[in-house]
Amino acid sequence: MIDTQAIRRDFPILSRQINGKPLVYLDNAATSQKPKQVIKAVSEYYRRHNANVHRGIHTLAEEATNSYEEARKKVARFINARSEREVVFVRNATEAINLVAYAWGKRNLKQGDEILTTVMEHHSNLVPWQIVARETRSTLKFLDIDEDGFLKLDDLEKLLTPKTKLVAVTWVSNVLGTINPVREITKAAHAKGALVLVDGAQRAPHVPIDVQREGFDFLAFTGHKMLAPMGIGVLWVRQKILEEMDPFLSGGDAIKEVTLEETIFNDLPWKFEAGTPNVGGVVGLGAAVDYLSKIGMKNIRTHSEQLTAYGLKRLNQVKSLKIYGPSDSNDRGSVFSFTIDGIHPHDLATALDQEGIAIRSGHHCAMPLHTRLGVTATARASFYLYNTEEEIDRLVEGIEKAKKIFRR
Amino acid sequence: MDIYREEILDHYRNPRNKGELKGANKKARKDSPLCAEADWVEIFLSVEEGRIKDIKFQGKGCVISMAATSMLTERVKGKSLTDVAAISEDEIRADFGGALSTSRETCAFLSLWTLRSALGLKIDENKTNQN
Repeated sequence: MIDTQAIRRDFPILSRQINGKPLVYLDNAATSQKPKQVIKAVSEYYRRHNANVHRGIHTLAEEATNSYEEARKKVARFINARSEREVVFVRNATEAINLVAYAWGKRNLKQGDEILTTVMEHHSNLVPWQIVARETRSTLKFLDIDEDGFLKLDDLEKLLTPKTKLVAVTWVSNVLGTINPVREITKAAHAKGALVLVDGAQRAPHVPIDVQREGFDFLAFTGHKMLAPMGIGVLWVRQKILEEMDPFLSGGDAIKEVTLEETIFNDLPWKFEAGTPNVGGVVGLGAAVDYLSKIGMKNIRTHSEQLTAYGLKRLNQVKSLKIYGPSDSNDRGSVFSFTIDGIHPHDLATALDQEGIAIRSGHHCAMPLHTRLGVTATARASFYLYNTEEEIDRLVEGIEKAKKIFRR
Repeated sequence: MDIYREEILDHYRNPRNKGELKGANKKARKDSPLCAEADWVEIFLSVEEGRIKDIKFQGKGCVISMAATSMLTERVKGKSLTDVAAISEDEIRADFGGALSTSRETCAFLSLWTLRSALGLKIDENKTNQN
């Protein structure tokens, strides 16, 4: 059990009033709020230690470099990477996936090769593969979902062929909440000689992660959904694969030796971090990892599971509300997309905002999935470690009030 | 609340001037910037001697876009094109108590932009490209 009330006191924004009501922040799948420990770490970095990293001789440069590399070690431990050299800092999960698409995909894929992804992906794990498939003349294939929002794993054997070079799949759907069995998918893919990229953006904030045990090859996730500032994300790549990859961007810091004619690239992971990085963001991410680790990812997972079960139960009690995705809370992360008969999701979001309740409405950057579900937009509520069952009650009260307003 | 006050909801539930206009000599259709092609407004006009003699609309969308369209048709019916050209986004904004967020304003402005398009008037592209 975690002390939610003590945790809430760490998040200054949670004491805000919105439209005269206490804020109920339920848009965590879009971004999380930040605890004062993270805000302070970023502020302290700029107040006391700011300098450009690597190659500096002076004290501040040394301090900044140490903070930057210390955070990399923290992130490596957080996901149980074999070495911090497997941790590449990027801007966000989107950039992490683009890095793989360009630095690995464009070099390794050729005409006739196949990339397998799913219909439930966020655009960030779809569009880069569309582009790379077009440029390399490889083929993009899709694993479908069933009526309950699970991937049709029975089709996996059929869709995986000796031509499949990569499987790109989300760990948790940002719309359906479905937790995908990435370990099982990885086994099947590896048996056919394909590598596996997992979009962990909705998973990393909520549960302990062990990349060595999971066995996949690439993991993308973002800091801002797990209490860190925006603009800092992580790409983890198994070292053997990373060593064989060319840089994504090139320039300063990514190089070891440059003549006018050619360049010897730097060691891992700096080879993939061209240009001055977001050091303040990395420091903030390190502080976020410290904060989460102190509470304990197992405890956060338990809290997340409790809120998911309670949210599912309470939303299911609302008449004419349809939840998309698995009906058993054990199969889902703490994100719920839903529609209500006769109420446009944007109207629901605006009406709830009047009550101080922040949810999201729209296609959640997953238009193909919404097409597959036969809806144009959904409303989405998503929870995190500072949310409470009382807040879920306020959401349900807000929905009932909106139903009264719109459906008289 | 100002946004969803009774007058707005009434326009949503009982839209004025909804349907197709036989003998329309101008029309335009626009998709919602916020909801892509899922939501849309189509406006039919009968313009005679520089005046909007009749107006009807078809559409699909949220309370804000549909109520704004219904109110707009009432506002412009019988008006001269000069008067219609002078209708600003601020007027529509005021209909919703000035309480709409920037993203939701595009829902409220959709019918005004569709009307301007039907009349060949200039649309502020900056305001239409919010998505």
